[in-house]
Amino acid sequence: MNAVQQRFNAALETLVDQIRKDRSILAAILCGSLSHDVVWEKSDIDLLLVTIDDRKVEQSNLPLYADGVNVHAILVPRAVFRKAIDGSFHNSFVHALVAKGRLLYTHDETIAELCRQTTEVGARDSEVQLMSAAMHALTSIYKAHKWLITRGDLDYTALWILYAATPLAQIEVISHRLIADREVIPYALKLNPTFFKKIYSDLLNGKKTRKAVQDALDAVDNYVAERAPKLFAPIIEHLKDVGEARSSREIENHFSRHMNIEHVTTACEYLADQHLIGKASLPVRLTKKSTIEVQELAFFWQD
Amino acid sequence: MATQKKAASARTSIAVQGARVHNLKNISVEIPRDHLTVVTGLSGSGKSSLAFDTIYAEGQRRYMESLSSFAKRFVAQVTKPDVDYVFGLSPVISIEQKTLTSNPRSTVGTMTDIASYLNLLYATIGHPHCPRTGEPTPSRSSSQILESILSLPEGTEIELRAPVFPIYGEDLEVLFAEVRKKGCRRMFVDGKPIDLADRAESEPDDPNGRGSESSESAPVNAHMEAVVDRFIVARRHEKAIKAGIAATLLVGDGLMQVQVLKGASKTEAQRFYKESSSATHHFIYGDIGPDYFMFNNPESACRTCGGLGVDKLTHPELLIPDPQRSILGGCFVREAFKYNPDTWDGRMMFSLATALQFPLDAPWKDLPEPAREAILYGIGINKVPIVTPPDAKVRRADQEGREVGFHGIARRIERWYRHYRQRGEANSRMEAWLDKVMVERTCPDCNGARVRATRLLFTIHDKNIYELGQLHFDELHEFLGTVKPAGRGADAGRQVLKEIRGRLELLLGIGLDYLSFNRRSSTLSGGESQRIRLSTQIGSGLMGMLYVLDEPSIGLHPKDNVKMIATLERLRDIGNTVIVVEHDEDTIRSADHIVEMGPGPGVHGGRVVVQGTIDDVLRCKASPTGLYLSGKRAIPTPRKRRSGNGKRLTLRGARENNLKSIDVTFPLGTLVAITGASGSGKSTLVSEILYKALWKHLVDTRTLPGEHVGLDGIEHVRKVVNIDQTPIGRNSRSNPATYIGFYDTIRDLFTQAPLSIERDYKPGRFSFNVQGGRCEECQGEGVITTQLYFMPDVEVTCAACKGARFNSETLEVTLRGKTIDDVLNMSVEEGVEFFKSEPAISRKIQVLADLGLGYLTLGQSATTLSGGEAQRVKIATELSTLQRSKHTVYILDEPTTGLHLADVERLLESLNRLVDAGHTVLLIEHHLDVIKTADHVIDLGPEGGHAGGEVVATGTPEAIAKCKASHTGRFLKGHLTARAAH
Repeated sequence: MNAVQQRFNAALETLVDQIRKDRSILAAILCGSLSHDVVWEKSDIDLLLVTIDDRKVEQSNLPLYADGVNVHAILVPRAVFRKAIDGSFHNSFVHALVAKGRLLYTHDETIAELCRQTTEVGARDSEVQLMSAAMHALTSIYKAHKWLITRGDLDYTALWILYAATPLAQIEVISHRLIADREVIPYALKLNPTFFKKIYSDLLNGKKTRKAVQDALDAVDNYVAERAPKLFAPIIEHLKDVGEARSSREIENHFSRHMNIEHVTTACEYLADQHLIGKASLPVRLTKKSTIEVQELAFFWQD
Repeated sequence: MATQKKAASARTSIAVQGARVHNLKNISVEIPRDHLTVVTGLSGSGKSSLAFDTIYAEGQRRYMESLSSFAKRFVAQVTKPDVDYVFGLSPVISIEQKTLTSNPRSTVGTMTDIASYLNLLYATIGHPHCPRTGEPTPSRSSSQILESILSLPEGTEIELRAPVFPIYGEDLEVLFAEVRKKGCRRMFVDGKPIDLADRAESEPDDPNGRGSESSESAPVNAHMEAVVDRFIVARRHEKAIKAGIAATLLVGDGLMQVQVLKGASKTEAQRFYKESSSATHHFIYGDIGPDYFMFNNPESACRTCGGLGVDKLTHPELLIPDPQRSILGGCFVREAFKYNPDTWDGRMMFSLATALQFPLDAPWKDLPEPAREAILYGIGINKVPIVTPPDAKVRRADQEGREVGFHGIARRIERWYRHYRQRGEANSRMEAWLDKVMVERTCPDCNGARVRATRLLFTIHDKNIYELGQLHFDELHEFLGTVKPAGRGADAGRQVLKEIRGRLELLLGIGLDYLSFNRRSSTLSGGESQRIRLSTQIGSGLMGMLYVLDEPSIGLHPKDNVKMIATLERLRDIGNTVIVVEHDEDTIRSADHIVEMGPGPGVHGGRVVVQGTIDDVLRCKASPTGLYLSGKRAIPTPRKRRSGNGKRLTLRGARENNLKSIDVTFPLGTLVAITGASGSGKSTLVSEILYKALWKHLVDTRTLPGEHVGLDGIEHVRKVVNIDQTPIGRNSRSNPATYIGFYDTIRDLFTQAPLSIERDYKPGRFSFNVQGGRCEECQGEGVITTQLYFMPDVEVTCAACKGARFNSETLEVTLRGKTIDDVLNMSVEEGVEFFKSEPAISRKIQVLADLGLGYLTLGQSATTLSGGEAQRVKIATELSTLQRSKHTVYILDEPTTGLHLADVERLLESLNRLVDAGHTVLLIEHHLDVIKTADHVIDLGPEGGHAGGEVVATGTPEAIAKCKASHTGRFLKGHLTARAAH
């Protein structure tokens, strides 16, 4: 343990000893770098404090100062904390914050149980998070193709590939049933070094030749294409279930209500390009007052 | 002593000085306070101008004046009426006969506020039941639930669970997603624990589902509970448990379970369950307040219909208005489907036709039933290979031969409808095109109850709140009389019961015994709405108020009119001043004071002809009312009844609403009166069934008439016209000249003036609706309206045209010395004279004059016409375009509304002209003077609501008068005798 880490731990211990005496604070959870990573001089301590449920105790953020260390205290009433943990999709920011954190103490045993449950990653949540990450990646991948084909701009194409690296790393980490937080690429590099070296480290550090960029882009395409039936399984299953063609708006509405996911049309377009689903069109009126019909993008599942 | 002095000096009358509103001729009138005053007179004589536009408007304005500027911003301001002063005003309430609202959320219950009391009644003394077994279930406050939890041994581990119910028409995934959003990760489905973060299996959508896409897929009987929170019982966790209870009740929609996990013995746990929850499933209702039963509360409203009680479904007859056409020929309404070989829909239809082997060019009616079924409702789980139509411009090789499903055109529309509903857009205009092809049906989820199923688990004497709201007022009154609150909430319950019964008695007292609280407000007649508002006012028990009413007798059978008069007297007797604008003889005779306006209509009126007691009116020779009431003048009873043209319309098996599958025959070529008690089914028979059935046959096949078996003799009718009292136009640009259609001829005449020819003016030049000839400053309105935030809008005459509505160039053109503005400002009487050399115009204007509308100006704005005037303008339109060869059925619902006896006489003359020209006139009417002149009377009843809906008697008025079972006959007999005596 380095000196900085020791200083931070000592400051935290002192602060927690004080907080423990406050009966309106039920639990303290250490989050952020100090809980699972390495801190440095400029770090602060992220401390989630679960408070009692009382009208006079509000959810808030408070910058504290403990023995020369900045502490970012997040005060959350117990009911809100419980709802956030159970209600959030796994691998979402809130979930990852607590899941990677460390419970320092609690006056309420049920909070310890809640924290423990955050480490159990559900298959459905993984499915939602995978699709969400894949859709983010698709947007950047399309841009990378566009800049390479239309302008031959290698630098800008490389940048778009690098933009795609984070959601692709999320896919890698989530696929291994691990928790993906903000700093996900280093973990993905460990899990799939060949791929991430090509599309991230080499692209970042090496010369952006046509071959290197094209190779990286091909690797990205292959990576997503190989996994497409799994990444976009909910879309394929939905269209398979309904049987007939469904308009883009209907598909969007379905996923918004069922999975809280928006903008799935991009994914549908990708699947149609991959011939995993078919593309059709259905009549639509542009405004509430329109009397003429135009055709709206639609998709269907095909055997 | 001092009080007596004060009382002696208090005003005993309302004094109006120098009233000049509309046609009032600077009149002064004194109306006694704390009395029942009737203002009567011919239509257009200035009755409403005095009662509503002067007295009520001034009272209202002065009240508004007392509000702060801030408050004034939120209320519509009233312009100061043109009157010098009104002394002795009290707080004023006007009760008009307008149907209050078309809002589908408004019911008789919400209008009367009794719905709120019923909600309160169920919240206080309703007996809750278990949603699964129906066994009694306790209802507690959050604090009581908390205390019972804390009574468990410290350290006991408990779990708070909330029952969740399948959502109608949705698969379980939607429910699970919703539960997750509410912050629950774990659930129990039929006792089996599931983790929502893991893959939650659910049944797939049923693509063949006709009711809804997946309504059948959700396991309706599945027992599901969401785990909301877990606690260790201890006083120190009191606040957390309390918050947990609140969260659980929110997820469980008022219901929850407390599950003892460990830390308590079996006996302790059993005792806890027994004392606090239902026997089998351990449910507790918590914090149940009146809002829990309110269908206008989003948390309580049925999730499918949103509290409307109705849902929409496509109707094949609306989708395919002309079954003679083929799919290629456009048999579907344009909004539903249009064949185009280059679209997916076109390819799909062609593929379907190929697979099912039906021709696209054959009339819809000739297609085999399975094909029609498939087109409308889909092919279930089957699939068809895509075949590109040969006439397609674009060939999609990638799609050719691929197999896809098809759910049908009707199903697609219904899916979109649900989509709008889910997004809360179902009430917007977006629904307009859906309305063309969909019909309302009772909501399949709540079966019309408007609230969620859990609300119906509360009963009082085995009746839930919906069943109670379905009872007619007389039945409800009796039912509530048997309720004896006991136990929890008994004291409060007794108070609420007393309040409801008191208000019900008021409603029963004014003849509304046939209504029920669940009835939609929009289905009430104007008269019924007015009487409901009246009962609300009486219920308030206020004294010292000034009530201004507009024809409360409208829509009332003579037998109910007696009750109405008694109600008005009661309002007066509790210490209020009541001013009624009325033509009804019985009401006039019951008044303490009568003010008759006149002597003529419009410019010929606006003066007080006579005022005083009934005797004063009877003695006054100048009073038209006096002449009629004294019998010196009367509407003559026809010596001979017309037998018609020998043809007849026979409606068989009419059973819409309360009609008891009746057969009714209407002799054609006669004046037929349909009579009966309020709510007996007159309007349903004539407007909902007969009119719509004729309209469907003659005009629009998409019309859906009320339920009936058949209509015979329809071939004898060539046209059907419903002449109601709705305005002839919605804005100030409509007027009698434009409505009847002679304004076009007038404009043509102006274009033939020498100056017009010289300047090449076309008819559009003389229109105030389009640019060119109109004044652009006011855009042809003649006035400019300025909106002032907390003061009334100010209307000033346009400075540019000085109110003439046309620009100066246009006004330079004259026709026999009159500009287009002069012509529009001419009275009908002047118009007849001015246009006598143009018979095409004068003939039409003459009809208006014949109907007693000589005082209207040719360009009088439609918005200033009363309902009676609008109706007569419509009759004038019909009379001016009368075609003897085209047998027409005219339908009029209470045409005597707003008409004085003298006006009624004129109306009858014009209606008889229609009959004499060979047509049929059907009147829904209570006015005995009209009924007695009919050739044929159809009396429905005997009572209103469930006790009505049958034909009591048919025949001539004399035959009806002889029928002892007929209430109408009884009054008609008296009327015929009384008139004969005069």
